[in-house]
Amino acid sequence: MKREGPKSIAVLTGICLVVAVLLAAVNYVTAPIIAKSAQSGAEASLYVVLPNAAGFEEEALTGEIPEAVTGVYRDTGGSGYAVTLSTISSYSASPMTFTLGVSTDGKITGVEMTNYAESKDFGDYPSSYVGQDSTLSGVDLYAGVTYSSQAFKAAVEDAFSVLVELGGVAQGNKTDEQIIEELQPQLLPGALNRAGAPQLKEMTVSDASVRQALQAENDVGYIYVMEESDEIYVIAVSTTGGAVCVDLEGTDVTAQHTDLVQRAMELGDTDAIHEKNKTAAARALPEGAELTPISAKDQFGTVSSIYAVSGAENAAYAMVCTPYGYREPMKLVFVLNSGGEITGFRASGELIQNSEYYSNYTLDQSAYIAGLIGLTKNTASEDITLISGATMTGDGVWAALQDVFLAFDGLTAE
Amino acid sequence: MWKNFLKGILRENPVLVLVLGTCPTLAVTTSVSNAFGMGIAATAVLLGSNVVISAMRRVIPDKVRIPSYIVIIAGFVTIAEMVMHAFVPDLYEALGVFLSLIVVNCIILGRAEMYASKNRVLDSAIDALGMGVGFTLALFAMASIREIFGAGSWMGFEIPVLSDFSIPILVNSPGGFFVFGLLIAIVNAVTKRKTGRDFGCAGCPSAAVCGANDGSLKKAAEKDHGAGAGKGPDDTAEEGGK
Repeated sequence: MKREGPKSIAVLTGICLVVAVLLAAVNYVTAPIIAKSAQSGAEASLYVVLPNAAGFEEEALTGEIPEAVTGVYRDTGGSGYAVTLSTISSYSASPMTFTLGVSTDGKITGVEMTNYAESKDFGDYPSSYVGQDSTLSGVDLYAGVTYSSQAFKAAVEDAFSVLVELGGVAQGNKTDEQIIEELQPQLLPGALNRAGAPQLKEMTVSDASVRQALQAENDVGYIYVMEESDEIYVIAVSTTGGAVCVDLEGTDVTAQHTDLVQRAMELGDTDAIHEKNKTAAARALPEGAELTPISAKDQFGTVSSIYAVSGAENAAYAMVCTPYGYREPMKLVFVLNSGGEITGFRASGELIQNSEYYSNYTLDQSAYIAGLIGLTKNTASEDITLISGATMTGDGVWAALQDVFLAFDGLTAE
Repeated sequence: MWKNFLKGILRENPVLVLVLGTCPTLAVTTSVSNAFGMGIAATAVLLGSNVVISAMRRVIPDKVRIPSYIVIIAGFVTIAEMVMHAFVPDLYEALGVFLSLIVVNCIILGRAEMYASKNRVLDSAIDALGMGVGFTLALFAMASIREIFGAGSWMGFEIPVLSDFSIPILVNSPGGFFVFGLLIAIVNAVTKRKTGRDFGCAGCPSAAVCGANDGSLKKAAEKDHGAGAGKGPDDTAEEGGK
């Protein structure tokens, strides 16, 4: 029995060693074949998107490469490029990978999905990109698969940015409508929903120079497309008194067009919005407090109304914010003292709208509010506003809180 | 020798009589080509491991016999995996995790422990081939039924009429169990086995190997704890040779 121990060890070790040597030998033979077949598998998608390609050569990319672009391959026959892309939408942990073919005239020749792990089918969405140029003017997001289609579109834009940078493909010319659409999120970020899409509705105004008038659905401001001396300008007006005017190049020309900006500021019915918000703000303050609407320049965030408060202890300002939560905009009232410290908070209705979540999520709202009281610009953090299980609502509160402190800085600086 | 080979095909079919390797059987029999690929891979591993284990039966100490068998089997499975990945990548992708799981397929370890460790190399090789062919045929028959009636095709080729009137549940899990049960019943009927005859060791088709009928099972157990390796109860006996 005593002799069996060393023998057992020796035999088992010997078997392990022999097996390891055998495996190494087989691996030596098969590894190159496996690698070659994996490469040809990846290459197959290149020929799908550029069927007439003579062969492919990988381009060496330098400088800052967008994360989504995993490889750029040039057709040695000169017909165009194939770009391999990998992107993660916020709805899935598995990356969506696809190959994009772009001809030298800058048109998409084909899209081949190589991995798609979303629960909802993408349908023919990728093929709607075929024929598009770098402006992607003919494609929209795919309803129901918004996050994936957004990630997909962003990845295609990244591919074009790399190809244009390489000088390999012609750049498409954006239409005025596209440029205006791209300017909207930059000019009025407070009107964006949590997916980053501006939520605006058309409105009619009497000014003849206005080509398009849009009102933010969460009442944070307006966007006007106005014409003056045959030039188009985009003007964003916030309900808290901010206004900015840019031309179609995106250059700020507010100072040069003060009359136009002034006219734009008078178009929207901001008084009605402040009157409506006043009721919500008053509920966050003791009875008898008086509220007077005031302005804060350069505030284009989620703050819809700002009031100077009198007749209430430890309350100098009340700000009504309407950030987007899971879907609909919330209405949050922040009360600040003269030192910029949060002294009161109130949400109209329930902060968490149960119907918008899969589970019956409940929040200890009073404890959550207690956590917000006493916060200042320096002590506020995303961890405090985070609502585990209802992240988008928490994100909305955090966005509003940041805008409140920004607006407060604008007030005190005046 | 011929008898040794044939027993695995029907009388001691590993899937339909011994009910071993059920997991891959149910999983890969949705298509005939996958079933065939799995059968060939398992047969290759079975043959390799049986031959090596039989050749080393006097060397491997009893104490470490199971880890030794597992290392040998895992080695063969990994080799099979690498070879398939290199030369039949489509089949490798189709079999997925079940290819790696051959390591824990009861048929392989079962034959190693029950037969190869007690018999000569040639007999063990024939036993492995018989069992492998039996496993492949069982998978092939089951997959044929499931693919023909469940998907309306065979080996990927569409069958006219049937493809329009397929029974999709057959390629799903419940259909797998149904066809499995059906085939077991047919094999039982063919081999004239009667239910309730004997569920003990003596009723087992492998009783002859274990020696359950003549009390050598008990002796073997005693020896396992006592004398140890290389001195099994039936070191030179051929299966069924009693």
